[in-house]
Amino acid sequence: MNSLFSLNTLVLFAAVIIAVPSCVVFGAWLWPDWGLWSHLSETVLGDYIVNSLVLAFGVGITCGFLGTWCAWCVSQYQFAFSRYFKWLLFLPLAFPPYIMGYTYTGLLDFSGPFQELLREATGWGYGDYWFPDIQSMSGAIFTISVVLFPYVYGLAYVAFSSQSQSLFDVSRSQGLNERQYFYKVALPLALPAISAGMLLAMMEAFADFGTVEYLGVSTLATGIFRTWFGMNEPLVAAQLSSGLVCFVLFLLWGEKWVRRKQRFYHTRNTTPNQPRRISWQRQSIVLASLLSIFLLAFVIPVIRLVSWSVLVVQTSPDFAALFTLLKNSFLVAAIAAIVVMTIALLFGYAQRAAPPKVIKNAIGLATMGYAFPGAVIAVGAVIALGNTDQWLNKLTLQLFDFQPGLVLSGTLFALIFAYVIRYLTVGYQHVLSGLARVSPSLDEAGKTLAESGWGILRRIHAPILKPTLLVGILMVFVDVLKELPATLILRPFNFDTLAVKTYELASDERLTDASLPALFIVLAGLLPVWFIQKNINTN
Amino acid sequence: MLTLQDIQICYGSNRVVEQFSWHLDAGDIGCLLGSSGSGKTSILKAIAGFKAISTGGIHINDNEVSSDIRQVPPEQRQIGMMFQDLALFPHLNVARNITFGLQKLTKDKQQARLEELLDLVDLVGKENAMVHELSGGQQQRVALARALAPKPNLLLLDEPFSSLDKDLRESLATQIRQILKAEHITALLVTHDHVEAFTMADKIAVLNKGHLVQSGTPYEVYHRPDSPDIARFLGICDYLPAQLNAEGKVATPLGTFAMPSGGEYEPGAALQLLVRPDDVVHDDNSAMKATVVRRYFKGAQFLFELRCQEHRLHCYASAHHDHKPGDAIGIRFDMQHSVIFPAG
Repeated sequence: MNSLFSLNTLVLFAAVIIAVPSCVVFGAWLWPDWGLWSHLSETVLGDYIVNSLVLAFGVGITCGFLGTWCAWCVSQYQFAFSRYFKWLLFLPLAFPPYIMGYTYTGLLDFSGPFQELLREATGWGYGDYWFPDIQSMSGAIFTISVVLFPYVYGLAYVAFSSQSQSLFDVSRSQGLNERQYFYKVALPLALPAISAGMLLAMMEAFADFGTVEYLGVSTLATGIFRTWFGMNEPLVAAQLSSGLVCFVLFLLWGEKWVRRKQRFYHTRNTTPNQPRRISWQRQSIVLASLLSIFLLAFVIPVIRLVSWSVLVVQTSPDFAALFTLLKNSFLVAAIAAIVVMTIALLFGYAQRAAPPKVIKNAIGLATMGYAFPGAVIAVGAVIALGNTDQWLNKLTLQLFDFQPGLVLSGTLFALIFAYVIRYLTVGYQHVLSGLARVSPSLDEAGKTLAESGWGILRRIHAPILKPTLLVGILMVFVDVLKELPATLILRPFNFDTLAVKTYELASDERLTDASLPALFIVLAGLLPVWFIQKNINTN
Repeated sequence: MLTLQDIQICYGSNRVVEQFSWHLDAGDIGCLLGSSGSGKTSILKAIAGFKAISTGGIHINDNEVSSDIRQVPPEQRQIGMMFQDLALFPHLNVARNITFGLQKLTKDKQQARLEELLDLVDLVGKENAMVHELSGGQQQRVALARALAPKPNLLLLDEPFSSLDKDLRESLATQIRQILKAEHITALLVTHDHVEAFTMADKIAVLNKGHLVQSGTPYEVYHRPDSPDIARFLGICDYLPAQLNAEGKVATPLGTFAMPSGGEYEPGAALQLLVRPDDVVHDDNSAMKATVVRRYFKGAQFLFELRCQEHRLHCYASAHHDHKPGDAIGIRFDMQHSVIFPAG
């Protein structure tokens, strides 16, 4: 009883600290600056909001179409290479959207390979022809969607392929053709899953900073940066952040709501449907469409990155700088992943012991960080840690006549702190799914076999939890590696990571130089994708 | 061996078991029989040490393991337990599951005990298999072997067959009973299924809403139930209105039967007579006729639902008697154990 009490105290303490930056963002409204707000609303605020909404809905709808089409084809039809496409279509997730944005800018701008090819083929010159501009809202929607459509694809694939074969048979025997079956039966049943995927993609689009910043689209996320660093108004930036969080929370609530519906629709059947044979004409349509999606969303950008990287390595490689980047990135990612998993384990065990309501709510609150965009967490963390630092320095000055400086806000601590807040959700979900496999009766079985509490942890829990914990660490590790906005704001002076360097080089129009660190991020990003597709395929 | 004395178990302010006393002798197989919410699993958890009792006492081999002030922790009780979900360790193979509780023994002794148990539960050759590779019945036997490995004082079985299909359930229950009897193991089973209870147990305690309502051998509780509720719980029941006549016999519209011993009723008292399917015999030569209302084909037998002068009866007959609904068939009574309750 005593150890349980202290575990709960620890969890409550951790949860409160983790919740501070989020509270700061909303607490900033205690010092409203109405003059600045009326200025903002007369000038840019409307653009920010409209652009954010257009971007999110554009991404949601594009991902919805792409993901549903891919999932339908792969789950319903037999065609050449279908079993490869099943997992290939997850690969675009390895790209952070901002790297996709840089790559496509390099591919589609005036001096890029596509336009060059077009000019060579036709003899046209500058201004003679129209070409889609990637530096635009539609460009942003395109780049973010080709990265995020696998969210919809994965959820829709599970939904379609778990629909019972007998549903299809019944529909056919009732005189429905395949198209009617899709619109009247399969799609409505899969709709909760599809909308959950779309809402997730929309959440990420709202939170995106790197892509829209680079492609010149002003959204709430870039507005936060501009208000803070351009106008030097951290409190207003925090207030703007709280608005962004409200949008995301609304989407999150929507996602939870459709998932509850999905449980209702879930068919408990024993014979999932089998992919059907189709004519070769239809096979070639399916194959051509999936192949183009895969080429656009993965192969072409990868070729672009690799060819740039080869160019860099052949001409002016700076391996020492690259090594420092790798070391820095891996170091913070590894520390963050281990801290996240440790706290997640504490939370997981506290939750498992059926704790009082306070603890449950605290855990729920502390594991909501995933809904907070990186930029928002950074704003909250800087304000909270900065104030703590000032207070600390005043205190030590009075007591010991000594000022330690910005020990919290100016060091790696701030960075790790922000990562923990943002990715605790990821780690916690893995701990929960691991603990779900350790049913309480396993503990009881261990006890009746005369094993001590420590022995039960060592001999039963640890081996069962190990695989999910390792995957959790890996997921957090890669997420941290890809994270841009919080890293940009919170990194200590002169501390560059792969993501930050990629962003800086790309912003300086040095896309070729940016390719090498970008390639490392994409390579690391492939690891969790492999686990995601494996999970889906064993489901 | 196992004595439960006036125990009371509470969840918060909710008393789920009250004033429960029972006793098992060494080598007995006992059964707590009751529907869900009857408190039977709570009693099992209290005996295992997972649940504290608020009053009373639990003794195993004359050692007090639970009282209102002291609970011996489960790992010190030397109790074996088979769980409803089996709780086999998914990351260990059969051999390591079975020897999980034998860490204090030397490797040689562990191996010897393992071989003994594999032989006992008929799983020789499966020791290296992972648990998920086994069939449901085999997993059940691994769970039994694991529970028996440390030679427990008492084996507890929590609805151990609920995950199996009906045929396997009965054959496995018989097998496990044979193993427990051969090894002279005292065991206590919890179930809601009276067939399982009858197959396994020497002694049954019927529970209802946390109270012991009847205790005895399976034969006793089936044939001499203390109340209509218990009777209904233990199988098909029909009732005939009855009256105690001047000669001390039980008169019903379908005949007069001997008064069971023990009943103390005044002549003329309004009663009801319990008629079980085994009390009614199908006899083509009998003058008493009943109409077939429904029939249930059970393979070797038919179960007939009959109507005889507006009274519902059930009877089993060999499957050779292919009577259709609506047919009038001959029946006679074979009342070996007549049971009467006050009319109500």
